Formats: sequence, structure tokens, C-alpha cells
Amino acid sequence: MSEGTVTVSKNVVEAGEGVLRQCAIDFQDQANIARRRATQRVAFGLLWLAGIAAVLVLVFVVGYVFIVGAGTVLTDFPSFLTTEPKGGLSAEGGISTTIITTFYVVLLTISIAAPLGIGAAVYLVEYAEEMQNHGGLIPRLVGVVRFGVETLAGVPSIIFGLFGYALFVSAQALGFGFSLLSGSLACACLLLPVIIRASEEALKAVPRSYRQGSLALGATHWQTVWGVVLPAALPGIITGIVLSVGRVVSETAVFYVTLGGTHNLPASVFQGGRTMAMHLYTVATETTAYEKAMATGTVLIVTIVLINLVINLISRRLTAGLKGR
Amino acid sequence: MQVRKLVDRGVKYLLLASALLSIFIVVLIFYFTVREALPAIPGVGLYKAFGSGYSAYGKITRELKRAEEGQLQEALESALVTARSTLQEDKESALASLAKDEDLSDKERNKRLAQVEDEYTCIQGFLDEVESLLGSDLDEAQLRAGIERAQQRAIETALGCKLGLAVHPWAREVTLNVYGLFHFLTGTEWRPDAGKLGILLMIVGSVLVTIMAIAMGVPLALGGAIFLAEVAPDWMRNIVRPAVELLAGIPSVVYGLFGMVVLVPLIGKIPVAAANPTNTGYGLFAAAIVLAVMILPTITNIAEDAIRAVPRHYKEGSLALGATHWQTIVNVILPAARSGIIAAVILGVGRALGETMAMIMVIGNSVRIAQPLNSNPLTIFLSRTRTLTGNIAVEIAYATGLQEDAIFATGVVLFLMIMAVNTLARLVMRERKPK
Repeated sequence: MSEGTVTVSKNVVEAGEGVLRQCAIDFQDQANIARRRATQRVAFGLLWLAGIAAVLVLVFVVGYVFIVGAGTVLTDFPSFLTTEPKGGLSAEGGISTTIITTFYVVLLTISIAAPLGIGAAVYLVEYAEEMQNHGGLIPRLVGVVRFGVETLAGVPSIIFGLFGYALFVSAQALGFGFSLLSGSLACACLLLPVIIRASEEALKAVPRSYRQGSLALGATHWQTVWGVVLPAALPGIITGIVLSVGRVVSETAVFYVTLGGTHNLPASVFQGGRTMAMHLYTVATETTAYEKAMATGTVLIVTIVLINLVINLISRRLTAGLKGR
Repeated sequence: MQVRKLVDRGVKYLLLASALLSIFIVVLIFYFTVREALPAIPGVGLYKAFGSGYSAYGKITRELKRAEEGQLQEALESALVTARSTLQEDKESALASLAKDEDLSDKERNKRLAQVEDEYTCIQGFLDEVESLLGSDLDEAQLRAGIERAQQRAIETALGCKLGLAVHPWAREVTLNVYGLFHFLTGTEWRPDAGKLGILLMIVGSVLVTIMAIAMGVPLALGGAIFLAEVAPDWMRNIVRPAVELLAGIPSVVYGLFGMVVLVPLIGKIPVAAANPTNTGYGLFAAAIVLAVMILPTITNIAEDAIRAVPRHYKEGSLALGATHWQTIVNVILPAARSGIIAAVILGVGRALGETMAMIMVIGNSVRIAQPLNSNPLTIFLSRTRTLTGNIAVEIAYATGLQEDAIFATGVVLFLMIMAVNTLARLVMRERKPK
């Protein structure tokens, strides 16, 4: 019997002794059972209350912004989405340039972070183990990489912003200035752990027999990974990437200190811009046009909901695919 | 066959490179923030040591760094003139503000006056030394070396009279750094234009708002987690769980906007008599409510997973012995899920400490340490203040010089706090695994 089982049985026995003692008393006092039931009823009532309150609070907060904002979006539909913001203190105009800038930033960030992140995950899952037997430096490096990914995952986004400012924006280092490139590079660092973790999970879920079958047919290690493992893990990897798209869309702190914040459309990656989330922040704090900020919030919430729907669709297809096999 | 093997090998090392890049980024982040942050510590120490003489001292050292070859003598001569007049002005304004300050006791005032006099003499001595060096017809390298020695002596004198001890040359740097670090972490004033760079008010702000958010959010989140894992019917869980996950992904600015539009006007209506400053609604209370809502999904999700991970036979054993479902939850399930629940709360703390945008939208951002608005101590919750994250976001874009260094140092302090919290969470999680 393992140590774990012993503790488990001990726990159960202890709990049992407590309950038996209780039962002995109950035998003499029938009212006790009624009291236990009453306690449970009260406790469960409170739990229902807590559960419903937690959901209601969240739905109320997000729903409030969504519904009030939706009013503005719908009265100006579709001009709110298609006209440019006027800038300045008036907050007049729509949000067209910020939608396009958000799209640019997402595209640039993902195209930097995804290849790196997926590459790192493939290495960690498919190659790191075989390297363990080689001895020397590489296994130690792999340990350090795992630690690095875990560390990165917990670092708050403003630290990435600060770092991006020092390394990419500031003229003393790379000197890209406030630009799409600076913002995307900083945000890509933030996304790396998200993509690496999701891809690792997806790769680990591919059954071992797939790899063995491919190797037995004479394929090399890389042919196996490219031709068999990656296609099987693709839905999981794509889920991770769509999740990262959501992170970029809702990220504000990193861009606030690296993207500049002009409401004009950037003409190249070396120019600054303003994402939707930044626009919401700027309008809310620098003007009094809360209804415009709310409307931007509505568009943001709809975007996030759409992204979540895509993830659900993919994961449903993934489970269906696995069952089919 | 040969080609295939070659490709195989090439790809392997390419992938290794991309894996190594991620650790490279961690190192870069740490290196850059620390590199930018380090000068702030002796800088703050120097400022504290020189006090009202700091800007006169700075004028000389700036020329020493900046002047082009062959022009050092001239540059220093003109800098010396401005430094002397600045020193006189700064001394006079420091004395004037001390004379005006009515909160000071006479004893305290005399002490401060003596301090200003000390600072003045110290820098005066430094400037005299520079003048005599300039007059003695040295070549540029000798001049530079002479002034650097004079600087070091000035620092020693200043530290010596501030700390009331004679500083040995070898210990000067250490003392300056320790002195600077102490004043950086415990200084309650953040006024970069006056060279006052203490971040205690932001540390207090971050910690207070986090504690309040945890106190409000955790009971609701844990109740929700137990409800979802044990009590809720399946159909309800199938709706609520994805909804909570979705809400965890909503941008923080949306929560901040709700705080600005709904909470701040509501809280602003709380009547506070004789308040200084007045209650505007912005402040700790609004920030804590927003934060509590934001960490709700995080804690609920992780805690629910922990409760669901408790082996089924624990529950069945307890129920079979006649315990009610509620007794089972309290006596068997929750103790077994304890470490996971604690880890969820700690991760919530990490999220709260790192939150930036929603905080700068509702906390007011004033550089004041949180304190009651009037005689009622509860009004501390209405105090407008600033968090560590907010300090970085608000000032980094235009900060230069010592202020910029100090912002990076703020980042390092935040980074270390978060690392400590996350390591704690990881340790608690690990404790669970062997079972």
C-alpha cells in the first residue's frame, strides 16, 4: 500500500470516526438529524446566493457597458465603425482607424510570437527528452527554458511595457520610437508563454502510437513531426493562437507605453497608433464623452465574444475528430 | 538519405534556438529593467545627502559628463557661475519654506535649519575646490581627475554629516547605495521636479487596494467555486462556467470604465464632513471594488478546478458513513482541496498587484500616501492614491534622467513582489501533487 493511500484511508477513517460519534449522539437525539438538515439547507442557500451573486456581479458590470454602448453604436450604425475619430478633446467621430490599427497590431504580434512559441513548444515536447540522454549543457538549458516560460507567465503586462519602452522605444537602445513595431515586439514577449503552453498541451495530447507508426515506416524524426504530429496537434495549437489574439485585443498597458497613441492610421510599422482598448482609455480619461467610450467597449466585448466562439468551435471539432479516430 | 538527415539535424537546432529565445527574453527583461533602475538608488541617496545643494552639484557633474574634448575648462567655468547662484537661491528658498512651515516645532525647525546650513557648506566647499582646480592651470585629464576626487570628498562629507558618522572611502559606495535604497523604499513623497523620489506611497497603495479587493472578492469567488463544483445542477454549470471564462478575457479597461461611469459618481455621493482633500469618488474604495470584480473569474476558475480534482472516493466514503453533503464539503472536500484553493487566492493577489489600466482609471493617481480625509479613520478608503503599476504607466513616457531611473526601479520592486507571490503559489501547488 502506498503512502498516499495510507493518508487517504486515514483521512477517511478520521472523517468516519467523527461522523460515527455524531451518529451515536443522533441515536439518542432524533432532533439532531433535523438540525443537520437545517444547517445544510441554510448553507446551500448561501452557496446558491454566492454563486448567483458572483455571476450577476460580473454580468452586470460587463452587461452595463455593453448595453449602454450598444445604444450609441446602433444609433450611429454603421458610421460609428466606419468614420475616423476626430481626436482632441471632443472625442467626435467613429473608431475606424482604431479597428484597423488593432488588426495590424494583432497580425504583427502574432506573426512574431507564433513561429517562435510553436517552435519552442515543438522542441520542448518532441526533442528535449531525447536530448536528456546526451548529457552536458542542453538538458540544463531545457530546464532553464521551462523555468523561463513559467516566470514569464506571471509577469504583469506593464513590466513588458516598461521593458519594451527601454529596449525598443528609447533612443538609447534600438530606437524604434513609439511604433507598431515596438508595441508588437513587446506584446509578443507577453504572448510567448501563452502560445508555448497551449502548443505544448496540444502536442502532448497526440498519441504515442502515431509517432511510432511513422518512425516504423522509415520517416525521419522531423518528417514524423512535420507530417504526422503537427497536423494532429493543429486544432489545439490554433486554439492557443486564437486565445492570444484575444489577449492582444484586450491588452492595454503594454501598448499604452509603447504605441504612442495617435488616432491617425499608421502608414508603416515605424509609426505609432491607437488600438481599440487604448481608444477606450483615452476617450474615458481625457474627454467627458463616456458614451463614446462605452460604445468602443461594446465593440471590444463583441470582438472578445466572437473570439471565444471561434475557440469553442475549434475545440468542438477537436473533440469530434478525436472521437472519430 | 544524407539530405534528409541533414534537414533533420538543422531543424532540431533551429527549434532549440527558438526555445532558447524565450529564456533569452526573460534575461533581457531583467537585465534592461535592472540596468536602467540601478542608477536611481545612489541617485536618490545623493539627492538626500545633498538636499538643497543637489542641483548646484548636478550642474558641475553634468558638464563633466557632457563637455567635448578641449572645452572642459570653459564649460566648467561657466557652469561654476550658474552653480553658485543656484546654490544661493536654493538655500534661500529652503530657508524661506522652513520659516513658513507652521506645523514644525521650534526644536524640529532648528534642526532642519542646521541641516540646510550643513548642506550649503558642503556644496560650497565642493565649488570652492572646483574653482581652485580651474585656476591652477592643469591639463584636461588632471582637471577631470581632480574634480572627480572633489566629488567623492563632497559625497563623503555630506553622508558623514547626514548619518553622523565618518565614512571610510571604501565604504562610500556601499553607504550611498544603502542610504539611497532606504530612502527610495521608505520615502513618502514623490515629487520628481524637486528630486523627491520615494515610492512608499505606491507600495502602500498597491498593498492596500489588493488587500481590500481580496477581502471583498475571495468570499464571493470561493462561494461561487464551491457552488459550481458541488451544488449547481449540470445545466447551470454548463452555462455559468463558459460565461465566467469569457468574462476573464474582457479587457481591463472595460471594468475600469464601469468604475468611472457607475462607481465613482456613487461613491462621490458619500458625504464626508471637513474633508481635505474632498471626496471625489475616485480612490481606494472604487479601485478595490473594480479589482475585486476583475479577480473574481480567475479565483473562481482555479478554485473550482481544485475542488473538482478531489478524488471521488473521499466524498463517497464520507457520504456512505452518513454525513450530510454539507458536512462532507466542510470536513472532507475543502480540506483536501486546501492547497489548490490557497494557490488560487495567491494567484488572484498576483493579478491584483499587476493590474494597471483599470487602476489608473479609478484610483485617482494623486501622489499622496493613503490617509483618512478627516478625523474618521474609515475615510482612508476614500483617499486618492497611486499604485506601483500606475506610477510606471503614468510617467514613463515623459520621464527623463533620475526620474526615469526611478520609474524603472519601481518596475523592479513590482517585479520582485510579483515573483515572490508567484513562487509562493507554485510552492503551495507543488505541496499538493505528491498526494
